[in-house]
Amino acid sequence: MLLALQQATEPPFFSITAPDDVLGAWLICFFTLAVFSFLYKDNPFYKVAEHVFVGVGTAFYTLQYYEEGVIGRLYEHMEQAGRALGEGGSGVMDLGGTPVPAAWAIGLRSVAVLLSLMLLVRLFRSGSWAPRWAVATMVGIYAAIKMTGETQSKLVLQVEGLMRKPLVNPELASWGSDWAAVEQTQVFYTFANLVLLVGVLCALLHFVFTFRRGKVLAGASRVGVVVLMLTFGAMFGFTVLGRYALLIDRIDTLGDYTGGAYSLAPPPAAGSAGALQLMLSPPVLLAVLIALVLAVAAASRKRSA
Amino acid sequence: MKREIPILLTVLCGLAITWAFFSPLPAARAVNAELLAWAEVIFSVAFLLGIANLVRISLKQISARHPDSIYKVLLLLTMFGYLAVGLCDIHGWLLPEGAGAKDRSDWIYEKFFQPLQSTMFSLLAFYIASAAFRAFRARSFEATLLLVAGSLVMLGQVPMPTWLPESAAVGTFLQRVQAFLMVYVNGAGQSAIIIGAALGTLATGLRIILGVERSYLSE
Amino acid sequence: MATATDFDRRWIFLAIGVLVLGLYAFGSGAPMPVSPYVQSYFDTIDALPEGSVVLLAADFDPGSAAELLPTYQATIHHLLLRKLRIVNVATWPAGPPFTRSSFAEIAPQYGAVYGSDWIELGFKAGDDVAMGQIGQSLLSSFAQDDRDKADVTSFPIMQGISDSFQGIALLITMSAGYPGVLEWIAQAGGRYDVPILAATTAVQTPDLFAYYPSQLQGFAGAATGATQYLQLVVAAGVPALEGTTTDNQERMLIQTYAHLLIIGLIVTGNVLYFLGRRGA
Repeated sequence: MLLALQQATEPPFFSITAPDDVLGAWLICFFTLAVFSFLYKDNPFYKVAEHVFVGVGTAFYTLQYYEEGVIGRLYEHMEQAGRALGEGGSGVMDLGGTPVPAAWAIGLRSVAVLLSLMLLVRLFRSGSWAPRWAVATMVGIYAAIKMTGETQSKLVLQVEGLMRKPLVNPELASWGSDWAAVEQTQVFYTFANLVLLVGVLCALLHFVFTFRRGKVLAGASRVGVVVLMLTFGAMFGFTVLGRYALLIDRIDTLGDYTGGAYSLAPPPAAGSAGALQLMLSPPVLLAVLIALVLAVAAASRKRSA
Repeated sequence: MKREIPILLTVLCGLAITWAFFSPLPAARAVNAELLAWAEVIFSVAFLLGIANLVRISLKQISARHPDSIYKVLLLLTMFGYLAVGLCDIHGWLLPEGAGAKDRSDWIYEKFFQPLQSTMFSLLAFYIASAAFRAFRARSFEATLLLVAGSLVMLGQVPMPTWLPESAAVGTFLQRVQAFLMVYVNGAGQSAIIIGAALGTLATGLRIILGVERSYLSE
Repeated sequence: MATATDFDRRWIFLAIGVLVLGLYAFGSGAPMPVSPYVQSYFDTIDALPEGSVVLLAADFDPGSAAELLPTYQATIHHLLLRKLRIVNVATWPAGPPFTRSSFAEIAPQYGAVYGSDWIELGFKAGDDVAMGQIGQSLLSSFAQDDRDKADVTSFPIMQGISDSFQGIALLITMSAGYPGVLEWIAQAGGRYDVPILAATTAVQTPDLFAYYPSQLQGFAGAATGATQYLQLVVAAGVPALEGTTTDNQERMLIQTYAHLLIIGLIVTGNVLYFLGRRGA
């Protein structure tokens, strides 16, 4: 196998610096097809892929948070504060654009270290009171961040944007006989923006349960439901669009590796179609092997049943 | 005191961040920056809890000779292997000649994690098709509206095949209908949902910051 | 009467697989008309003066790279073509590898110099908290850059940037979910009045119509927006993206048939359901 692969000039068999390598191509194709094999039924190939995914994924996210949250926010911060406190240091640290005595910076950050250690007590004693302090701190901070930011952008600025919606646009023509131009006309513009404003109001009124529903509220609620159903339908349409984009991308990736550089077969003779190269390329060969194994396993299960 | 101190911490941190939002004072900015840094540190360390839990559950299954124990061994091997490589990259240990600082862990990320995660998500395309056939029923007027809107948006977002008679005109018509639906009708629904959710966030946030909401403390 | 629920769903999976594989092998593509919000995304970048600093956030992972990576790379091309300077951050841990690989490929094509034309600050943990910190003080949020681990203030690109997004002309986010564009709007756009552009996955795109154009200056949503934006960037003078644009146009036509199949399945399933009810 190694000899056949060495006959390909590009890319290398294994390289961490090259943009692509043969070993990497085979791994990508194997994992992609192993996950797709789940569509037939749960099987060992899928289980291998699933467990490798969990292992590598957990390690990846842990490394990122370790590098950023522990090394960056703790170790480097303390190192910087230590330098500021040391000989020739300025004695102050920048905290959000405000100079703070370095000793204070160390002391304050040590509280975060203490809270983190208290959180880790959960590993040894579940039900302990210590992790609650860290959780409570996080909850307080996140609640305030969310509340202040979202109230401004999602409440105040949203309502402001809706109240400022112009119902008349002087740059548009009044009438149009051409269907293609109708969305550019004044009449359509005003109608569409009225639909928007009335739709928002009715959809909001649908969620008002404080009052007894009279005819007006019930009618507005009904219109609101229609608006919400059309909204959810639109979201469903986009969801389908998104999922198929992912699938097509995976097929495209597999297609990229049907090239001769990754195949186990030698380059074809001049004028020859290269069918053997295609058959022994990673996606085709692996797909056939996985399908064969699953078929044989299914046949032997049927025979023994 | 086991409950009072955590509630006090929540109230103090929440009020400090809220004060910093409104106050132009340098002290407010410093308090805000430090509290945000605390949240970042605790958030990052909490991840260690997750990995420890995963190791504990996997080891339990391996020692109990669970049918999937061989896969758990593979999980632990890949996890610790990647952790070792990643730590070497972060601290610059055993760096090969001519390689960049993150080349080793980037290779594992691109050849293992990327194809696995992308393919896992792409499976949903098949399940959506299956659900479309087996579960999406126009049982009521509202459900019919949902399906019709979804179909119009699906057709309006993509080009029409050229074998269709008057494909350009059909495509333009569907795009216009889809655009009206998205900008004005969907825009109305989304605005209502956003405003409603913001009111809920405001109410819940106030309850937490004022110490009224305490459900996060229960085990 | 056979009902839809009796039908083995693996036949549907097979039909989807055959359709997508067949169209991939034999399909073709065509240019798409550009939506106003995608045009606005393009025009906002185009309107920036040369040398302006743009904060580019890679808030996505491999699960959403199919929809966002083309727009991300096209945006980098567009920014470097217009001689704009790029500060790269990420609030998703999986973002920085995409930044590294994209700039390794694209920056040499424009002779861009690390530290002057672009910088990689890396991932920041904390979701909304991270965005709040970046907004309050970018220089305090990242003490070192992600590539050289050098003091961030030593790089020429960071001169002129100060607290509260001062010195940053535009924020662009490639948003795959939470945290993403909605959190950037809350933590940055609302507080510091910085213009925001977004590229999003299809699932998140419907949310953005409520923010455009008051809080969001433009967006390229889903694969459709990505294809439209690629067309605009190629027309602006980036021949390197012609292959990617053609690929995306071909993918959009595969989407057409996939959507027609989905609609056909919905209709067939409902017909069988109502016929079954009538027969019962």
